Amino acid sequence: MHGNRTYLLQDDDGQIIDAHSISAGLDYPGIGPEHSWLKDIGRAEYVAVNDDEALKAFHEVTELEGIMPALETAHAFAYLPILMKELSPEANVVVNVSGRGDKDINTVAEIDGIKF
Amino acid sequence: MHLFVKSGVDVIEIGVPFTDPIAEGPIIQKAHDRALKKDISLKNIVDMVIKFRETNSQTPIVLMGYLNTFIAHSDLIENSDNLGIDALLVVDIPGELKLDSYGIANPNIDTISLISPTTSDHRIKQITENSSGFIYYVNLRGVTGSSNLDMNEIEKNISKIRQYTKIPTLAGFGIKTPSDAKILAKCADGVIVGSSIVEMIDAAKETKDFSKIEEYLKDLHRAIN
Repeated sequence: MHGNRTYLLQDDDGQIIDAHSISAGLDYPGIGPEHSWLKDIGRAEYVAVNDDEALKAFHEVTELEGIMPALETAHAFAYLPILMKELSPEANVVVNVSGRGDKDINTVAEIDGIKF
Repeated sequence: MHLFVKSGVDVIEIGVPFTDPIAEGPIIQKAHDRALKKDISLKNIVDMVIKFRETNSQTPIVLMGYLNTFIAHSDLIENSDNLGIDALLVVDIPGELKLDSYGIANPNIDTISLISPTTSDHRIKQITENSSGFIYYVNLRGVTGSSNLDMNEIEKNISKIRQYTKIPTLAGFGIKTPSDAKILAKCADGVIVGSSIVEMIDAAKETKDFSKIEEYLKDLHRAIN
């Protein structure tokens, strides 16, 4: 679809299914083809995080670290506590803050009922 | 489809509905939406062709569509000796690749490819090597149903394509009137008309009176012969 071969949200007839995500960057029925490749060769594992978990992480990282992560990045932070349970306390973990969250403040404000 | 043949159509191209028909203008996009609302899939189209073949074994049939729907029903295409389908036109497959790279090869089915005004010589060569049936020359930079035909450019590019292949080159996109068809038929081996007919089918979907389509197709036929 759209000029690349990748994993898609689709039905049995190959028709594309509408996607939903709180973050615009994830609201797409496919994934970057590089990720399809990384999954197929076993180089990366993929997990799911829902809108509520991502929002909670957005607030936590903003309050505790003073870093406002993009809602896309907030998904990664939402998974961090789950991942940490599987790792030893000495493990070093890198979270890639792929984008800044000030672009998302209108989305978050609307959900939280805040008017500017 | 029988009406088309009676009215002078030589080859019938059937669009396979897809949720993301990127090559289509608004008229054919709407047709994709209408069909999808009724859950029309590649299977239904194949059944329709099989029924058509009960009384017509001559008129070539081309299925035009998007790769993902063909991949989803690859068994249907690959494992059939005779579906009654003569060619596939998969508009979003890169011209350098063959359908068998995606598991939808069938030796009895031709692969029709698009060549556009912006296709480089190098790619024209590769695309023609992977094509059979006919070459579909896209007359303009745009989607189906657009206008503004540049005849000099079309003529130049079709003669360029003919240096690389002996299969016929048909011209499509932007052909609305019999006089458009007449001019195009002078340099191409045939003309492909889509949006105008789809629009008429839409207009007649309640009344089922297809006499205007019949008249239009006969006018086109007269214009190019």
